[in-house]
Amino acid sequence: MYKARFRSLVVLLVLTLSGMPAARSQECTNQFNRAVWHPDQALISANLMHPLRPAEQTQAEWLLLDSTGNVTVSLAPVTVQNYGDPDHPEAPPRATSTSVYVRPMQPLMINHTYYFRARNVLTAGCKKIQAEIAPTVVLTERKTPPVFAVSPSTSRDDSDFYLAPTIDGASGSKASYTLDGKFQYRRAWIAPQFGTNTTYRPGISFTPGMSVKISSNPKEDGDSVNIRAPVEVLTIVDPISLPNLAKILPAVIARPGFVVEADKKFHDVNAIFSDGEYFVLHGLDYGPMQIVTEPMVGLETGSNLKAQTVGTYPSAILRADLGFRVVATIFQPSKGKPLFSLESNYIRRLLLNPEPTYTQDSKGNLVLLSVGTQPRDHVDLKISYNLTPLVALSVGYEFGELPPVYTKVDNKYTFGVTFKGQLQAKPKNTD
Amino acid sequence: MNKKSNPKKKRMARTPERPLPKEAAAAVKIEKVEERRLRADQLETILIDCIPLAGGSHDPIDLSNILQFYRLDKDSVLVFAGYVVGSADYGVRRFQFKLPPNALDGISVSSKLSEVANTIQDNAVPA
Repeated sequence: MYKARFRSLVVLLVLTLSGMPAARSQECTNQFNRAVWHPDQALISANLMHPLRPAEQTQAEWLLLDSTGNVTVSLAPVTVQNYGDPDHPEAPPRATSTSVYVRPMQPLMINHTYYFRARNVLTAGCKKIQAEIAPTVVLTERKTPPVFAVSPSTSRDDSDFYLAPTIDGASGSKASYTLDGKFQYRRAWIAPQFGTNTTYRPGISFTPGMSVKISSNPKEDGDSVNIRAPVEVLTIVDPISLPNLAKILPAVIARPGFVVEADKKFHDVNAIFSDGEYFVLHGLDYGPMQIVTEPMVGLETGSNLKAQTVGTYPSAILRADLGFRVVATIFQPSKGKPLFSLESNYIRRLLLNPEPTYTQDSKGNLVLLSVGTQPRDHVDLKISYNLTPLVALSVGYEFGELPPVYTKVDNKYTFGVTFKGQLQAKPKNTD
Repeated sequence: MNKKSNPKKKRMARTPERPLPKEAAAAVKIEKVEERRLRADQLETILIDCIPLAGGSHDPIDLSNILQFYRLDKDSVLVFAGYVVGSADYGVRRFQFKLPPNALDGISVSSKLSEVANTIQDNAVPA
């Protein structure tokens, strides 16, 4: 009995002196905790969940694969470092703080994704060598982004800059030239905040911009000049508190703002406060085609600043809007990049107070047709084929009436080259 | 009591700190850098959770794919950014990190997941 007690005491003493209790079985299955590329020292440090003894890693193999180029990177002899106790680097640390330092023999490529894995590693306190440690991702150094950079966009709607000079044909008219342009800047002011033990807060962004459509054809004078200073309010449906609703409707985006709408000669100018509520829905997949739909409801109110004809605005402007946007994108299955995109926007303006409708004579002068509250519709459809990420060939169709003069765009077809993209502002860290 | 006359403080000041071995000092520096950055697996978890919640698909995460590949439209990209920055359950805040409100302003439907992951990792700081 004394012998047994003495033996257990000796075992306890040995374990205490070694600084490391015998590893539990689950601790013998090691895995990478994190891996970070240190460009200043040209090395990768990979932290492990459970400690290693550097001297025991004679059979260990460390492998680095460039997944972007699918190439194995040769490595200099690997160092296993315990930095739990700097004075005793050979002793297994009390905390889980073993890191492996890997120095690639060649410079790593910027913006590439590497996988780091290990074979035949022995975790401290274990008897059995672990054949394989699951790979971990290593992201390499990035180029410092410029203050403004440009990235591709898919359509007019999601572009920050958009320039589409087109040759147009419409029923009963000669070919004409139209410039469809847009510039917009977006900056987030307040980040949304939601979730467990968090006070709900929507996100707010500022997105000023200008939209221009100028045509050489006097009959094609739709939404000519539109200057807006909208605020964007992002209301995310919290999936914890409203799980069923969040599955259908992830978020609602409100875009209230002041808009100046005018015809291209600024003969009729309205100052409007508009608010559109855009319902973000889940997208749908049909093989290589994806379809995204976004219904909207809106309200526009304001007053006429300058009328083409006196007495055409008997009361304040008040409109209720209903509409939707559909974007269908066909992907190249092999490359996962969009090949064709089809975008359609429809809006019906229900006028609650009378507004005028104009047509244009052959000289381009506005001629009053009527004043009334009949609904005004507008639909456009555009098919784009991406030549490069920033340049696309496009075919478009447009029909309907747009404020302020509601000149009818009658089955207008367009063909042209579109330059489009998004601006990327370099964010600043908060600390 | 005058601080300068405190004998305990004087004694402590006279005792020089033992210099750390060169490698250990470098290791401590690396550890500090590691601790101040989101890990790759945390980034992957954020992407896996936030893309479907923002209206995208559940397709496996491949860092070379663009956001549009996951059925994210221009507005659902804003929702995705909202989840990453603001969700206490699915975004960077679940790992005790924070992002500036405009950190993901530059991402678009044509941004690669690797670019998104890099942007998150570059801008996330411990909360």
